[in-house]
Amino acid sequence: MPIILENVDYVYQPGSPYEANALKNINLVINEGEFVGLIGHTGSGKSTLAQHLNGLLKPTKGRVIVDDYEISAAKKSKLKEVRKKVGLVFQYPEHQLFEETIFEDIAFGPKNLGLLAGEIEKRVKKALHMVHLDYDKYHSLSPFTLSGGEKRRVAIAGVLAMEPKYLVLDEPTAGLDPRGRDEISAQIEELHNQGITVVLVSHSMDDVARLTERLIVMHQCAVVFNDETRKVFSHFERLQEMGLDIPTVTKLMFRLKDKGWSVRQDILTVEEAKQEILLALKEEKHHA
Amino acid sequence: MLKDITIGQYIPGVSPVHNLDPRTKIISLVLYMVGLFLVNNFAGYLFVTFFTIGIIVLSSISIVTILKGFKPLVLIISLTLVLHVFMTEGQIIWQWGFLKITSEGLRQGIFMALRLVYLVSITSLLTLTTTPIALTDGLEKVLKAFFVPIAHELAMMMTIALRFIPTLIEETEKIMKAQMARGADFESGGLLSRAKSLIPLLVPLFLSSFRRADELAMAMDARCYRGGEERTRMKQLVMGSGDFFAYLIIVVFLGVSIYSRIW
Repeated sequence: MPIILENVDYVYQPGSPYEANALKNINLVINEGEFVGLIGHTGSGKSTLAQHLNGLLKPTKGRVIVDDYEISAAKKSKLKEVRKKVGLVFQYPEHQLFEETIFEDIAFGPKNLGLLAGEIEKRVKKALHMVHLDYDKYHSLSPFTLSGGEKRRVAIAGVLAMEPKYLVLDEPTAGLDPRGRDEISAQIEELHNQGITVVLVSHSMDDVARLTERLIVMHQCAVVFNDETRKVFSHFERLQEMGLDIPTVTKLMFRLKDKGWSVRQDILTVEEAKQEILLALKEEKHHA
Repeated sequence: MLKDITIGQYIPGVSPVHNLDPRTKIISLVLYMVGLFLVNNFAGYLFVTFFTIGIIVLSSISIVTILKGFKPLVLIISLTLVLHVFMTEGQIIWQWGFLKITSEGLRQGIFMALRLVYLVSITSLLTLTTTPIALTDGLEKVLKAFFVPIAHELAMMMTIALRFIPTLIEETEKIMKAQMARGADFESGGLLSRAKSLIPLLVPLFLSSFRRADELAMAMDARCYRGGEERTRMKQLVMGSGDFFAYLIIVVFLGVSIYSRIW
């Protein structure tokens, strides 16, 4: 069953002098098993949208439906159930660590769900395994002794231990070194392969190009594009107008085309680019 | 819930109160307090009431904004009223069991509650009509004039504290949401479980405050901050004719309060 957003509007601090529209008439469906990317300029409303997916914010107008649960301004909904299904990893999630040991911190979510000690331990082990941290080595350490990348993985494990069906990640690689970034990206991909539906909010066009199947682009509180990633990145000029960009390889193909090469432009990965350039070179020889 | 906090909020405007020199406002506030605590009879209170309403009208700040500031103080004001009304000895006008109301108590209670209400109104008017920067500049000058040794440091601490209130509120909301996403519940349960549920909020909040403090200190050092010695200002505070009138008015106010007391 999917997550459905129907005519969702959200207004910040209505009635005050600081009133501002944050979402305007959003209609979206996120299907089970998908890997969806969400991009947009700072202030475009993507983080606000992410917080609607698990009921942290309620729409001012319209409704959000997560499986059987409806979230709307008028209705009192079972938010705990929704949060069990939809895990949300905030920006800089390592800032929410608070317990004395890594075990306790990851167990916070499952404990709130009212699980038994045996089940909690099982889940903590599994979550640590999912982020590639060794349980025996790490579980009794303080989370504050870890490196930045490790802290972030522990924080993500804290959300994974709730065993969500949907996982929403708000810029999970921001502020990490290249190695930490690659590790987190690889782990997210792995999680998706294990059957978790992933929504990735990101500023990195290269990341979303490599990972996602579908891309949602937000601009000034509204959804502008909602299509296959490949198709979205063919709107190079529109994206640039919105202050966004296209992946580095895709840009390379656009440049080559400008220089008179006959190459396709809907290229997203280095591997695809290599094939395409080789093909173009071969053709050139052929003509010559 | 957290959005209701209005401490240190400034509302831009161009009223005569907005335009006063911050030093004038601070000194006038102190004199106003003296006057407010001097009056002790009906006529005196009537005068203070009109004076206070007059200042609020002059500031063109809406009464609703000022009333909002009372929200966290409702308990303390009503407690003052109740304690005075029931605990003061004197001529009994109503009795039920051990509860008794005396005419002296009623008078004292209402007077004390009114004093608190006026005090809070005018104090919040100071922050509502003065930018935090102007306020701390003024405070520094006033403290220096009274030979308080670390005037600049005190004022700087206040500036920083005021500056970080919104940041801290934002941070609190963010961490709260992050923990709620992990199933934390801040709104239900008994007193003990609610207090316990604050740990996942407070620990990260303390950590981030220390981190911020460190970063700020470093950034100030990097720009050669050395405290207040021989520091000059781009915008010097200048008193105008409006300030002169303000002093005149506040001195008259104080005079009338003293007069009402001894009369």
